[in-house]
Amino acid sequence: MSTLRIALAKGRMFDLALERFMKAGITLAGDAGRKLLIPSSDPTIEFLAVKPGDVPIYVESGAADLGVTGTDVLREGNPDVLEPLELGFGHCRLSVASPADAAWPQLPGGITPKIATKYPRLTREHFAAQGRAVDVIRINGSVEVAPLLGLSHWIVDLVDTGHTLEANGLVERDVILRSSAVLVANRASQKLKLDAHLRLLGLLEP
Amino acid sequence: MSPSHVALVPPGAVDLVGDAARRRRALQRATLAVLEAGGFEELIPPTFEYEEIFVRAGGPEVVERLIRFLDLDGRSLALRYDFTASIARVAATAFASRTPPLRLCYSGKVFRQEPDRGARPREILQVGAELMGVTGVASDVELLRLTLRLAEAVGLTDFQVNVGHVGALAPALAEVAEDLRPDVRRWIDRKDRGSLSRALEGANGAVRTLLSLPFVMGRRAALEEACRVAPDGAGGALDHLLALDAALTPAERAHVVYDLGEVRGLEYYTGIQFEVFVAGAGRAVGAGGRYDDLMGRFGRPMPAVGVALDLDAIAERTT
Repeated sequence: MSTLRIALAKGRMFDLALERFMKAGITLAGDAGRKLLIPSSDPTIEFLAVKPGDVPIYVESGAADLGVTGTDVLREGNPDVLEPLELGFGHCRLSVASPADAAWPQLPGGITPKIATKYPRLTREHFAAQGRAVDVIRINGSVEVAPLLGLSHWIVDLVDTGHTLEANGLVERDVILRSSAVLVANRASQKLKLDAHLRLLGLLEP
Repeated sequence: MSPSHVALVPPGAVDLVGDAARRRRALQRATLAVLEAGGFEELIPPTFEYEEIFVRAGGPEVVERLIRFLDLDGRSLALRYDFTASIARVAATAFASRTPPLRLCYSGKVFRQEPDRGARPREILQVGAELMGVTGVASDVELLRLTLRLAEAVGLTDFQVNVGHVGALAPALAEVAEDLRPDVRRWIDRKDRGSLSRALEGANGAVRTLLSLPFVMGRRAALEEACRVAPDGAGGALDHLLALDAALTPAERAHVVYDLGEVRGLEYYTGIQFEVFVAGAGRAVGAGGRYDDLMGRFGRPMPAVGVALDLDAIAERTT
């Protein structure tokens, strides 16, 4: 049986993904601490821990056979990968939010809204589809404080419980996308190692 | 001027030196020898053409992937996006009086914009062939057999050619509601069985076969299984693949896998389509198929089937 290398996103999704694999009978057989490649209890499966945004490029290029990432990352980057299975965890939404006391959906005086986000492409597409002009500012983190600090009028960011928005005086105005964890696969790998892919899908399917 | 100023090259452009250069020339020589032995005549078309030629051949979706610039008279030029467009132009004009079949081949670079694609090159060394003016199983077999010989000539041993036929899914797709069709195609393309099942839950008849047919992948037995589940309209395509399989030798068959899940070429291909895969390369190292509508767009309607191999991917594969 061919070996499958699975890229997992470090951080919030990492433990949830491992939990999902554990339910399928696959556990880590090593310390996830500093190692990049982590063997599993299944000799044909090893894990690779990478930055969340990097999962698609590892899988698209074939450096990893499969990966676990979110719908948000997939739609933003549009990588050429297979998406054989929704994994049923990591549910959240990509939303537009603005300060509770700010005018919505228009700013007074014909000002073009500035929007801070880690998702410039989805943000542009969303507002273009509504025929609304916006100015998108790409930032890499702490999106929710951008309006407080005067960087932007609005933000587009992932919302889970909504507590972070609330704590920063923001109100969720519009949902762009509902996201959850997806198993993605390299096209060539799926064709060359079909049996191994089907076996893994069989183990993971609810 | 410091050396660092002249070291900068555009993203996706690479120098090939030493073994990287030698290996590519060796691959070109080996493949051109196979093509010549097969009766294919080499053409060296221009490196740039009027943009319109590539769009005429490849459809509107190639526009954003062309590397374009303006000619002195303001007309839009593009670097060679593929060889097929130029060869179709030559076959329809300079070679208009030649009696089919035409067997033409080429080797050289193609140039492509890859917006947002971190790991993709913008120029690719290709070798390929076009067989024009003949149709039917025998010509598909000739081209597929040629592909296998080319793969062997470049040193591939453990490779796999996934062969499909656009006619396998087309009848069922045509019966999907028009507003749902793009999504259904996307899900098939991504092998997203969950979304497909949810969307087509209540479907019956031909549409229902989209829950199983796109996932068929395997040897002759998989084709026979597909025949049992396929709607009437797909019978011709599957019979064609069965006839193709019957015409192959056991050694050739060892490299061929039938795969009915490919929907990306539906606008371009009109019959068989295939991709070449090899361990150590994360994407197909070759692709081809039948495009019987192509030559009509150049004013000389005749059937055509072709293949192109990516010699860079083959030279750079990791195993």
